[in-house]
Amino acid sequence: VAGAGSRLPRAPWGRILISALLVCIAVVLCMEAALATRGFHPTLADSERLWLRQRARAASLGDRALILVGASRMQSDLDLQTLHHLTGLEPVQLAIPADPGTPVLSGLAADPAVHGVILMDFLESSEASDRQHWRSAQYEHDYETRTLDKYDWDFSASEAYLTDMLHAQLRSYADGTRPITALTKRLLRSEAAPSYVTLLPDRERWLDFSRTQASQLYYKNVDRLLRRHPDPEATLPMSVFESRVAGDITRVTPEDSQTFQRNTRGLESMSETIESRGGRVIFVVMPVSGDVRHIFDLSYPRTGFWDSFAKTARVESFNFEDDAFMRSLTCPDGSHLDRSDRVRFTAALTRDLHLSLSMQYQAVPTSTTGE
Amino acid sequence: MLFNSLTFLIFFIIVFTLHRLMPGWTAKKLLLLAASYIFYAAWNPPYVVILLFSTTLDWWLARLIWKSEDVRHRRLLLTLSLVANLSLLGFFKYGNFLLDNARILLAAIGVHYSPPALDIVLPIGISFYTFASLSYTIDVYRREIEGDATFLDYALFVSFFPHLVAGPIVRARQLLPQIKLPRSASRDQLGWGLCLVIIGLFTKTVLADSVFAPVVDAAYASPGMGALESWAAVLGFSGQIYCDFAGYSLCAIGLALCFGFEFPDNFHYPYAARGFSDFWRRWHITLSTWLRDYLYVPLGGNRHGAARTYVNLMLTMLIGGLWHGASWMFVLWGGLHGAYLAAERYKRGSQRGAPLPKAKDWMLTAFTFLVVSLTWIPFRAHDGHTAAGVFAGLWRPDLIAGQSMSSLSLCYVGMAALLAWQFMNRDISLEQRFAGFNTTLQAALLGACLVAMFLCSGGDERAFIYFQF
Repeated sequence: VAGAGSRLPRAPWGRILISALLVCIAVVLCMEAALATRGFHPTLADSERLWLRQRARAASLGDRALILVGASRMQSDLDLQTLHHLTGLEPVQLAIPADPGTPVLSGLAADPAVHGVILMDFLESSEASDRQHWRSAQYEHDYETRTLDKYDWDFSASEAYLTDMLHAQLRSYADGTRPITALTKRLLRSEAAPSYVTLLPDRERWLDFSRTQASQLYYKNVDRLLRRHPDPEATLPMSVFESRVAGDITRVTPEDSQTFQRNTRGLESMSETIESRGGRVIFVVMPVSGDVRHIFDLSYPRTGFWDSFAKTARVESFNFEDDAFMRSLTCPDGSHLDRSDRVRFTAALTRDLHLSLSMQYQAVPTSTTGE
Repeated sequence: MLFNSLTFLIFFIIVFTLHRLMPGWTAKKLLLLAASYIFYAAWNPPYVVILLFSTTLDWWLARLIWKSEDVRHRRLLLTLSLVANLSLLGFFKYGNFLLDNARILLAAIGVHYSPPALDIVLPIGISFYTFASLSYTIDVYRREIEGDATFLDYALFVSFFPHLVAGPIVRARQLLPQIKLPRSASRDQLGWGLCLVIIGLFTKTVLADSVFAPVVDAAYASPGMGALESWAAVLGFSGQIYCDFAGYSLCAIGLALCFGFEFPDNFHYPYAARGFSDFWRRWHITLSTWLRDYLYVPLGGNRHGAARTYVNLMLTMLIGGLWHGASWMFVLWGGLHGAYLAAERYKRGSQRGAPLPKAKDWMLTAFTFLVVSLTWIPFRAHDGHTAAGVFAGLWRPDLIAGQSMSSLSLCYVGMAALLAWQFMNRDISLEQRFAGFNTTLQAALLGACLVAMFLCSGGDERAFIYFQF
């Protein structure tokens, strides 16, 4: 028998076990300190698991939910604490980077438990696309079919919750890496630079462009929109870059609006379904700037796209261009706000959408403008 | 709830603290029983009903068997217990397997029958607690133990969370007397128990999951890789399954010790075995002794001549293979081991050999390890095609097809270190080895285990391999 009295080793167990624990704690603390000096900070890697947890919250919070749906701009530009403070509602972050959010809105419309306020990131490019297979559709499908994950008492749910809590505190797990990778690649060999993205367990995400070369991200963004091969030079002054892309931008032509018209009719229908059970859906165009904004304006002229949707559809809507402050904001990469602008932007949006505590029960005009 | 999870850490701290604070032995037992059911329900709450049903039925039948003096009546009750337990096991574990094979057999004789697909989820640990429970009714039937255990004691014996889902297969005669009388862990039991948990988690999370599993998974996912990769996969799986299961067993034994209970050993350096019968005295000891005492011996063992002994050996190993899962690959694995044991018995006769010279001893140990490792191929592969692919890969002229050299090197070095450790310790216990170190080294080793566990954390969470059995 293991551990039978005669076989048990005798030792000063308290001293041994506490020493062992202290050795481990010392190593962890040293790693954390070393990673901090290299500029790393605790951040999670976004995952379906985190999203499913928020999706369950969206259903359980009822009319106290302020649900954010859409792409990376909706995830990065809004400050959840400010939203909660100003509206008294519980923000639920369901936005997914590089995804339109339409499948999520569709799922929310089909879910009778959802009757909160929904802010939907309106992307003309997605609504004008015929693409069917989005990550958000898979997530929403998984939410609807994996019943066990909807409950907090399930082992996998509690384990995921605890793991995320721990990983959100330690730099050794930053960006979803493992401590062994942090040690070998970030401390011993300095192969990786700290990420400018921070993600919290509630999927709140902020971008600190001071930690990266924002201009490179901006060039990449513009090149992608223009379907242009990136310049081979590693660093390029902004003025040189702008002069190089100027010709490409002039050749941008408006996209066909037929698919857009068809898809937005679906959005209107989803919005009506949610509003019919006491919910509220507001379509928001989030800030972009520089050449990114210029390209969007040329590809999706406001009169043929946004205005036709906002004025004809029976939906609540808001465009950042209608607010002087928001129009003046600069997105360092062309399409996302820096962390330092999030609180001001969130406060302005809350005010413009009549979401602040004192105003949330007031009648809201069909098409809201900020000015 | 996995032992290597944060949820379990919190669960254990709460249960352990309450257990220390709670007055009275009955209250402590009730706490452990409730905790064990919560532990089991964390996987799939409805399957708690099966555990409760199996427990209640066997407890009740064992009492009747114990009280009855009528041999036929006692045999009938034992048969009822066997049929009920094995039916549950058969339905949940082998239902789909039997249907599939019936369909294939019927198709072979021209009858085309498509049975409805049974959406059966295997209740975790059913093979383990069924065997633990059966040991009670059989031993009571044999009058080897008394059948007067209270329901609380019996239910705690079956469901005690350290051994519930993946063993060791603790027998009633080992655990029930411990449950009956009040006990609390001594300082040495608690200290050594926590050490075993740390060592067990280290072997599971660092060696099995981080050193061996990535190489093994990659090779079995695309069989027929280079020779170096295929050998790494074969040797690596030997390391992975040992570290996974032995690690779990150490955790289970350590956790039980923390509450003052002593479990039997489940592994004793099996890759340092001198021959196959020695291997089975060192590998999954509680299963092999269970099969010996409740299957091989009742079949006649070696008491009815050589031919019958070989048949009994083969039958025991085939059933032992099938116990691991509803697949012909497990049967093949069991059959191969049956053949090795029979061949070894034929060569040695019924007498155990005298100690071998050192060189021969080394060669026999190396040969045993090599054959055991190659025999893991059908065990690990999901089908014959994969097994054949991995086996063919061992003899390919090209060495590496895609895996990184660092992973392969780590796997080989890890396996070499594991083999050296097993060879060094094969004739002494872990307790003796640990006690031979001074206090500073003991603390440093445990600290290193904790640091390694931290460094290797955060990856894909892998369940213990034996959970599926």
